[in-house]
Amino acid sequence: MAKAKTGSAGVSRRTMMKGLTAGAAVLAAPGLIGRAKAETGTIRMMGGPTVALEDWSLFEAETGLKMEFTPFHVDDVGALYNEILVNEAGERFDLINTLAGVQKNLVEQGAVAELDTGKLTNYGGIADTVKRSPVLYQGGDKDWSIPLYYNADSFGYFPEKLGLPRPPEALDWDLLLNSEETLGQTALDGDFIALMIGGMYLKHRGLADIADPANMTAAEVKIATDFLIERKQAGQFRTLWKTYDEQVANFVNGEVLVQRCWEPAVKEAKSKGLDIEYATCSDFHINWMHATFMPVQAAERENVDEIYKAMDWFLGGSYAAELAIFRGYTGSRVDLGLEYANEAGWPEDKIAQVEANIVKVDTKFSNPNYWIGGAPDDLASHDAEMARFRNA
Amino acid sequence: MINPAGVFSRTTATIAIAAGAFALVLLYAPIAGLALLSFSTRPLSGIPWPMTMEWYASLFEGDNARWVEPLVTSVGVGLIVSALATVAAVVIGRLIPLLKRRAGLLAAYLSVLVMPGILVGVAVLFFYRGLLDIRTGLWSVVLVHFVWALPFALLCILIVAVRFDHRLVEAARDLGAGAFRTFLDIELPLLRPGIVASVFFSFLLSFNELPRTIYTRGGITTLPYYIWTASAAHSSQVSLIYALSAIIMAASFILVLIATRVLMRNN
Amino acid sequence: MAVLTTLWAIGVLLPIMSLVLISFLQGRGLSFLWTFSFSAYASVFVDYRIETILRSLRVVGLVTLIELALAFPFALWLAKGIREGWTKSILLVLLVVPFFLSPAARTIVWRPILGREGLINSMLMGSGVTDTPMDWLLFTEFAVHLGLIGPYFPSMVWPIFISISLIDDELIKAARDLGATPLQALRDVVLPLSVPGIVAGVIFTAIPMLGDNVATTLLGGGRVSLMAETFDDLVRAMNYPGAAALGSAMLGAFLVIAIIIVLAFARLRSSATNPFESMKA
Repeated sequence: MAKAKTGSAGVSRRTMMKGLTAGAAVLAAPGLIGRAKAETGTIRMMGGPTVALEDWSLFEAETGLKMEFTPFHVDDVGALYNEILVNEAGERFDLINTLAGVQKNLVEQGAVAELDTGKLTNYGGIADTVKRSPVLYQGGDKDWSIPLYYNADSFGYFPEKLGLPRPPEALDWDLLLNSEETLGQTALDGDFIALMIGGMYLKHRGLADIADPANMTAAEVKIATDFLIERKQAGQFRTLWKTYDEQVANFVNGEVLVQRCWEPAVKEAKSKGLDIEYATCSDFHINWMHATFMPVQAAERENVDEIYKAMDWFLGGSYAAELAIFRGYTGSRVDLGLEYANEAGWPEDKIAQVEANIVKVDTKFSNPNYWIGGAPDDLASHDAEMARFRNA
Repeated sequence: MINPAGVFSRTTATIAIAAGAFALVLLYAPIAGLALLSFSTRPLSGIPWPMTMEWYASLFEGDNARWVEPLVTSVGVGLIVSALATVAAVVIGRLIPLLKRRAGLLAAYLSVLVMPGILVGVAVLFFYRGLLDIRTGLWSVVLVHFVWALPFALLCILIVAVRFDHRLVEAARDLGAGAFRTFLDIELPLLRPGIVASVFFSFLLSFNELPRTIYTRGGITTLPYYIWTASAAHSSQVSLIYALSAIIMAASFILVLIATRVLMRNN
Repeated sequence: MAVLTTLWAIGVLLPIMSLVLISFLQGRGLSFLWTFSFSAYASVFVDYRIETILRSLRVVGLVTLIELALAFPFALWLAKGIREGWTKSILLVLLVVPFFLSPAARTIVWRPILGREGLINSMLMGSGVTDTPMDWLLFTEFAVHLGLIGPYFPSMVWPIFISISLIDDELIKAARDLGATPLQALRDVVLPLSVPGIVAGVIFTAIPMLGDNVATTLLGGGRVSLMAETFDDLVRAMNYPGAAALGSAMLGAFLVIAIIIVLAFARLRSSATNPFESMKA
């Protein structure tokens, strides 16, 4: 058996490489099951559940298209790459949403269609800092992926219990990572975003020389991990979380005073009557963005114009405005969002929420920007160091 | 008499019941909590009141009702896997005790158990999709679930088969019964407890399987996969998942109870 | 059966064995370097990963022992201490239903029970037993053990229950009639005959538990790092050679242990011909 294996290695290598690294090339051959037919009038989109508003009726009313949305666990980058490159999601979908930055590898593998942004009326008005942010732009003046929304992440805290001011007055990350007062009462991400936060902290304080905390080298990520292990052993963290529900539960069950979390978790905890705020920070925020691209397979479909139409809707005012209310995220054209809210005659408190998002962009994104983009180049070191951190 | 077979005295029976009760409390405390919290307006708070039927109602509305299809898929896959694994397990299991060199064969079937599920998924994906260029889909989900369930199904059959008195089979043969008749009339009834256990276990192992499914599912969405995906939402799905779990719990309780009673009556 | 075994070998064992091949490659992301190398093994077998493996074995071993201690008497009672009837049916059904439920959904419910402001702590503090909440109830190894005991109990009970059910009541009665005490009947008749069930129960319990990543992530608080998470993370980081190396090592360890057991048995039964024979009633 062993012999047969080595004998076929030459062939298997090529087939395997073909299958794994160039999903696009495989597509050139006629599929075994046959591609799903492009149905005009329907947009099939795959993405994180966060993309969706409460339902798609607004989309369907404004574009005249039907939306068939398939939620995917986009935070699991390995599973996502597998879904797109090996399982050829592009054959089944017109649009694919990812955390911005994740698409870069896919572009290199030829799985992403280059966009003709001339077909998108709302694209031109997006700020260059967003369009050309390191998570989206890959040089060559080419556009691959449109920004859907973005946010500057920090942590949630109990201002009253801690005797701390409320936003927009700024706090810093010592409260979460390095504070006697909150010892044993903070919580942090259970994946390697935690290490990136450690890197950002060290970089900002000038404690370590780290070029890009979101994309550290093996040596850099080790330094960041050493710092976090030191804090973990000092008893700083009550727990590490992996899911949204854990974040909310940690607040609601009184396990933590300060917790690195997603903004909607604070929103939800607040709605349960807890006195929690999402911090504005003086040192840094974790900037992230969700983006959407068209798979190469879709670029040849009959409904390509409809796909552009759908993309343009995501860049429009109604999505930005509704999203600001629904999730608190900033849409790429929040300016159009405000226009939309005013024209639609929204009540003042809702308009205020949309405006707050514009303010947020000015305050939070004016800090030195630390974008995180899905997968660092040296995934293996990040994973190894994360295992070390968790084991410590 | 409280103990039909006479292995228990009053004290030992109490100890046995206490051990079971302790474990069942640990098992059912969170499940009862879950059922209770499924009525809570704020399930994550851990406080059941104020109560509401809202989550149950919203389970059937609009996009939320999408769990139905994954549930049907999971039940379907579970039934296929259960049938395949049980048949295979009977075929192999009834012969293993008769073989002289069974250690190697047993190892071949049981060793896959130690491979972590996620790796089995990846291996199947690499081999069939990467190497042989066959598209994944229902068949590959069934395959990995089968790989997961078969060793357990085999163990279920073996528990019974090792106690099997093959003189009975020989006697039937001597009396002129054909191989198939002997199997049907003699072996099958004797193996029945193992078969029933195998059917149940294979189904349940498949029904709850996630790590292997993630990598081999093609376009298939099973219930655990659906719930896993929902957990990526930056909004709580807990209220819906609790309500869904409570419904599944009630339904499975009734179904399994009926099945058990029917089986016992046939005995 | 030969056909089935051949299919199994080609369709299942071959793909899984190809992991052994992958474990000797170097890989980065989605592509492999086709040179033979031990680097995947070297990168995976480092102190903190070995600690994680040993911790997993310790936790799983201990919980399996606890399960056995709880499940054996209960399974015996279910099989031989209670007559067929509604009570027995309902108890059996209660041992099946949990398998239908999402493990994550029911495990997270422990948090409001064990937490700092949870049910137990508020009861203890309310009744004045302590003034300060007991932090160690949650996000510790204790919590992980507790969270594992419940869900894996049925996996241990079932195989033992089946194997004891198969023992003929007459056999036990005969032993009793010959003057054996209940304990002697248990030791000399029931226990030897239930060995296959116990072995199956241990496998049913320990193996899936080794792959369990729910209790540790939800109740371990990032302090109790176990193996299942290691595999998830390695695959998530697309370090396939590393994951394959770890998996191959486990497979190797399993086979070595199996061979040792088989050899030990072979030596033991130089007199008795067949362990299976001797188990027959």
